[in-house]
Amino acid sequence: MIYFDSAATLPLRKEAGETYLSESTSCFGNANSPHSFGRESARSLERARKGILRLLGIEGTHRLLFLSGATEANNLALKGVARAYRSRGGRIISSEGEHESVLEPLKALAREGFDVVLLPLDPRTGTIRLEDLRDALDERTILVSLMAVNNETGAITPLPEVRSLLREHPKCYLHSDFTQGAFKGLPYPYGTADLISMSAHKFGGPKGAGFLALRKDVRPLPLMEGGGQEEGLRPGTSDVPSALATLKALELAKGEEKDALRIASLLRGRILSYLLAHPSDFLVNSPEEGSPFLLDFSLLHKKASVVEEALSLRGIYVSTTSACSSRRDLPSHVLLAMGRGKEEAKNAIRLSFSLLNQEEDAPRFLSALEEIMKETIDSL
Amino acid sequence: MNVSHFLLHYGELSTKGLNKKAFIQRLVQNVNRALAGPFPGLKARGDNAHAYVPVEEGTDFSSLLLLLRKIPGIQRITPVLRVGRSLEELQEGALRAIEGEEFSTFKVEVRRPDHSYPLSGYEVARALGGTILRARKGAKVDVHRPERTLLVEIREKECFLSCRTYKGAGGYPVGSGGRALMLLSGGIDSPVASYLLMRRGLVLDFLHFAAPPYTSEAVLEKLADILDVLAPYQGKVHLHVVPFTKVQLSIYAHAAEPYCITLLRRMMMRIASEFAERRGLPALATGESLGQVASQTVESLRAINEVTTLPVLRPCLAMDKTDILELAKELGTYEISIRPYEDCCTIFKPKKPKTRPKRDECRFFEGKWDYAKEIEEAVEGIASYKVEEGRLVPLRKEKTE
Repeated sequence: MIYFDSAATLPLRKEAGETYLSESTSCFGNANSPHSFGRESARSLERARKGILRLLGIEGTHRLLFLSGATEANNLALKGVARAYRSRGGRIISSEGEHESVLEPLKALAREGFDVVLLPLDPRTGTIRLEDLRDALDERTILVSLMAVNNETGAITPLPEVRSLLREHPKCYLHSDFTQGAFKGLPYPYGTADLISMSAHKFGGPKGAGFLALRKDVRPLPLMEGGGQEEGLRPGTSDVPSALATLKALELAKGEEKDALRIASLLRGRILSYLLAHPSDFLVNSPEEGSPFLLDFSLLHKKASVVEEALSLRGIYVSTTSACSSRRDLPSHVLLAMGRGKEEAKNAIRLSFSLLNQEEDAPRFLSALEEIMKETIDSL
Repeated sequence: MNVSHFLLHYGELSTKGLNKKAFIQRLVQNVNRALAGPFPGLKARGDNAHAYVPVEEGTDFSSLLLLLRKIPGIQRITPVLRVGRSLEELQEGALRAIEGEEFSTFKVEVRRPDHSYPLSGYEVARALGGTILRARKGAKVDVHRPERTLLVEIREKECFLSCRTYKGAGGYPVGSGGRALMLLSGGIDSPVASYLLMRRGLVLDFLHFAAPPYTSEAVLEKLADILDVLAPYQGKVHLHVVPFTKVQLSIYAHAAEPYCITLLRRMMMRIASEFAERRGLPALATGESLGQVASQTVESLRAINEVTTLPVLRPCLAMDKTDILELAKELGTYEISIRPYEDCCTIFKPKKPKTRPKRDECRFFEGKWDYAKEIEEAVEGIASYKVEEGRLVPLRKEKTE
């Protein structure tokens, strides 16, 4: 088996699983209970919170809310901040290439009357043009939301440059979805953003867990009301085992960052040069300087679903678009935002790499791909 | 109203004469199989006149009704209250039967299958009418256009009271009419066609054409879900999957594009016929509907039918798409069918299919390669599954003759 779909999800790391199991069976107290058994859970929860902030290097500036994943984090960041700071102005700027968990909340906010501006993507870099952002920013802008790493193409948003544009707009917050950027060799610190979303299963933590880190002065409104946990921003009994497992997984991801980068760069480099050498069959969508962990390309004469199925029958698992939307027969909105044609946007394959892969995966994948390109007929 | 039983009326069975007993047995068996999952406590039994499902306290009547209304072989379904034969019991029962029913006019209608009952129908109706009039202030009797009719059926050992009746699926009990091989694509029409044939008493085997990698393995999960919906009507469901890629690629290599769909259908029919013959299945069935797409014109059907001597049952043939959709939604297969996986017909869809294909043209293209060998291989390669709780479980390859 070759698993080239690490951007969709990774297995739970063994150590994180052990942490989860031992915490949920032995230290099962409710972190809100007054007795010492409960207080022990509360201390574990805070340990997890501090630990994650420390790993990300933002313990001095940010705080952290444990949530169900990046989708919830994005919803809370966008709706929570927009509704809390509405009096400052109603403009929110983002890009057409964001994940659905950003675009859909933005649609909801637009229906509430917010002025949502979506910037197009540059076809070459796969990310926004800074001059577009500069033109869109005004004194009514309260929030800019731009993903650190695009989940399809791996394009990296230049957040430090975005940050410097925002210097003239001190009341505007910067939110960034770091789902594909947790210890993936990004060239800037996590603290560049005021609000940071992450999903635990993307770095080997449990599914259904994630968090929003936010600068200490940001006060979003909650999406749910209840028992006041997580500063009242995410009520519900705290999932302490999951928080500790998330910390454990993130620790391990940080420790492995260099090794993962090495293997990803190697695989991506080999496959990329093959694709570039066959320009009549493939169109590479990932920017040269994108994340080494992702490689997206369009098939010019084949259906992506056919090639994906043929690879799957050979035990090679890739993605046709992001896993979240692949059940729908739609062209990739990211590629459309980059100005790709509809057929190119429909027939894209995404490869994503991790330490589950080995060097030999590149030649094995390429020979399978070559075979499939020969064996399958072109789409009519 | 208070309900003790659901009464199931047989309908078309009344013409069946000597076979009637077997039909009734089959129906009761089918009803019990359908009940087993969602209503494990309920069990139907049947006599010459009706079948009954005794209901328990707390039974969800509307889901039960919904389920019974889909079972072929039932003409009408009447929720009834069973009471004793004395007038006092009937009077007390009448009040319980109308409990919760809103009406301002009513009538009482009495049937006496037991002619030896000491009171006449008129006497019983009068007595029960009086009881209701005393209990319901303001209610009036209207024998011509009542808002509610309380039906009283006096039988040898018991009486049944009812005030509503519902239309059933009609048709014959599944299994009373033999077997056929249904070509199942995963689209909207074939599950509807399957149900319509089951309603005429047929038990179906299902045949699907898979063309990996052009079709996704995920289609099989979709088919499992569709068959899971159809399974309660006939019990055991078998799906046979034909490896079709080679045949399909040969067609596209040898035939002119407009003829590809016709040839595709002819090859499917050949494979289906051969498989049906080996299994002893006397008929084929499809979800084709006249005029819906290019391969469903009469000329096309003629070209397709030419390759088989088996009857091809096409229950959707004269149905409008809107009616098919409606039935699919009612059955619960619609939502499954519209899931976006490609089947072997959509993936190579020609831009301009021939709507009036000529048979000699078909034969001309088919003369260009040895398709018989490929068909033989495809039939040999068929993988059979049974459907269990929405999963496909491979069956061991059976010896075919």
